[in-house]
Amino acid sequence: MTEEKNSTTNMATTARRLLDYDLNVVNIGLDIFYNALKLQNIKVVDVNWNPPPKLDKETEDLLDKIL
Amino acid sequence: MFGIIDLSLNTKITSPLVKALPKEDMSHVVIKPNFYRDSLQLMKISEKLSRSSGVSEASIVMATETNKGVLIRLGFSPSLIEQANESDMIIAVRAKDQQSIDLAAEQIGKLFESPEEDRLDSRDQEKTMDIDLALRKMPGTNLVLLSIPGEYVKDISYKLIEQGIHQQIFSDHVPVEDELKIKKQAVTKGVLILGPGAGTSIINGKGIGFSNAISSVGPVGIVAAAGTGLQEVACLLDQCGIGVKHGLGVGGNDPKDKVGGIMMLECMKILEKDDDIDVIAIISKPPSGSVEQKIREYVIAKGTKKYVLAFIGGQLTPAGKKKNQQQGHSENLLSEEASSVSTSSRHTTTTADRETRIVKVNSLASSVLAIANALGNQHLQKAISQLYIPSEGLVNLLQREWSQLQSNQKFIRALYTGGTFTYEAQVILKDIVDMGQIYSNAPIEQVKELQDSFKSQNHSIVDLGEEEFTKGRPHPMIDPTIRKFRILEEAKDPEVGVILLDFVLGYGSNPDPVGAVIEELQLAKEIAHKQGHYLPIITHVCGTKNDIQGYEGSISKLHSVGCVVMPTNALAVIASALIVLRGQIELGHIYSNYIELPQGWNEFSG
Repeated sequence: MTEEKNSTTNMATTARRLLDYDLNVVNIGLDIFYNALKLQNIKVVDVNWNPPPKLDKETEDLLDKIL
Repeated sequence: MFGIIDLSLNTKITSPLVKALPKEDMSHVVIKPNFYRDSLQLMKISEKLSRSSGVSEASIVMATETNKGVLIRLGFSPSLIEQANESDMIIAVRAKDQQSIDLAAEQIGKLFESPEEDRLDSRDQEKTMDIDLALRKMPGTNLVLLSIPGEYVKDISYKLIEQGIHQQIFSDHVPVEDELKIKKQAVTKGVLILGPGAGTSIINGKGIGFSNAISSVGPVGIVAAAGTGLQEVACLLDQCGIGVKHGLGVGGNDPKDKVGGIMMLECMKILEKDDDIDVIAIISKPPSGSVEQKIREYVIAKGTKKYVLAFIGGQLTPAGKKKNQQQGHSENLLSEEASSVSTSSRHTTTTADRETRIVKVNSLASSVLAIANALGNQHLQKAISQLYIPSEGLVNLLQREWSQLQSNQKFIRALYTGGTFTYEAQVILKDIVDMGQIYSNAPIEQVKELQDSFKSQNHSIVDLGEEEFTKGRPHPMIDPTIRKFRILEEAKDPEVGVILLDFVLGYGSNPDPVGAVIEELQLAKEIAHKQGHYLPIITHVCGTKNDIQGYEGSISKLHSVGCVVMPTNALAVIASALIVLRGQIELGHIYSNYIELPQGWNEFSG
């Protein structure tokens, strides 16, 4: 109960950062969403996201051991 | 330049779907091995190429199974297409002669060299190369919008949670176990996670993702686990002069047992604390029993607002239809007493008072009336005038349609772009037509699954946004290709009595979703006419007067080719059923379930 109360208080407070101020958005993915935000004069930065390169199983295992 | 001529393959057009095209057209197919571009970019290039002189069809796609199937259905020869792998690109062009093909080949090279020309703000053409850099470039970032393949979401989301950044996650196919972990972690950090699978949100009246240009910020807060449902309700409210302040999409999995309604409940708490909000609506497929219980317990224990629970297809409790004293006021209607609760008395209400503030409805249209009702009689009257067609009026309007049908035209073919509309259509149709005759590629309980999503059976309610249609392709709200040929296919079936379509306007959608299929709608009517049939087409446009596509203009275009336009999806579904059943429906029961407020119209129309 205490945990729930704390989390609720926390969320209600932290959500104000989103709901009480102008939106400052980082868009990761589709251009159409970037354009939609721009059309509404919302500040937005677009990320040129690409999937990480696929490694073969042997390399992945090796990296797992090293890291 | 791709050497399109070297690899070209001339084919004869054999598909029945392209009968309308000139017979002398030539088809050329090219495979570009291991060449990736995203589906939206390819769609734009395809559209531009289609406008080239002499070109009648151009489709440049990644070689997913969906796309290969579409190309074959569009009449391109399967021999080369079937050899392509998922990492290959297919260029398929149909043109009147070799010279046009050569010119198209030249143009393709140029189009790939300037892929970014459609971006709105030339100053921002250069994208930021990584997320950390983007966060530094945007100090005070308070939302990250994620639309990347679902398998990559968890790692990025976790990092953002650690930095306390709220997120809207559009991505589908995030494993539900990941969703649960993300949301549990987010709650401990006070981070709001909208999604995964959340295509739509509204924050202070601004649309995030697929959303509409609403006129004003108002006293309504919405929590939605149904993206098109949120768009429909926000748009219908806008048409009634009622503004939404926040509409928070939590994703379709949130109200299921596995996730337990974590963010749905957090969003309710957030909206509860907002002094500008008077009515909170929850829009969702029916949540799991335990989640619904949590929602009710929260509202009864802590709620100070009026609540509209719009669980599409959920059971209205017995008290909702025929309220009895024993079940009392705990469940359904927003009673007169609750309607008149003043702001000043909110904080002194009893548990019983709180219970009476919950109204439960099971369609999007009735949720709008319930919200309007909660805001006062004036709003309700406006909503009625905007969105309601009395049953007698509906019959009069449609009699002309069904009177022209041949006796064998008995099935509805719904080709939806909106997932919530597909769901709502099945819910309503189950109550009207023979349940055993309803098929869908996204079937609800008791509805049969289509054996092949690309081929209709009996009454077919098709969600064109499902994975089998969208793998490697843009969503059908953006790309009309599949719906275009599907409309023609349905028109050729002599047993089709109605084609039912939604058109979703707004940010993120096709710049002219109606215009994009208008030729096919006209052609569908002509095809049916040549076969000695009349083909009714029932439509609904989800949008606002401020949407960039033009709401009134979209409706006018539909009228111009003989389509019937209904003000809500629910009415469009009922209208379709009314036509194929030649008016033989007991509309009173259907209206009270899906069109009116649950306890009967007169009590509320006041």
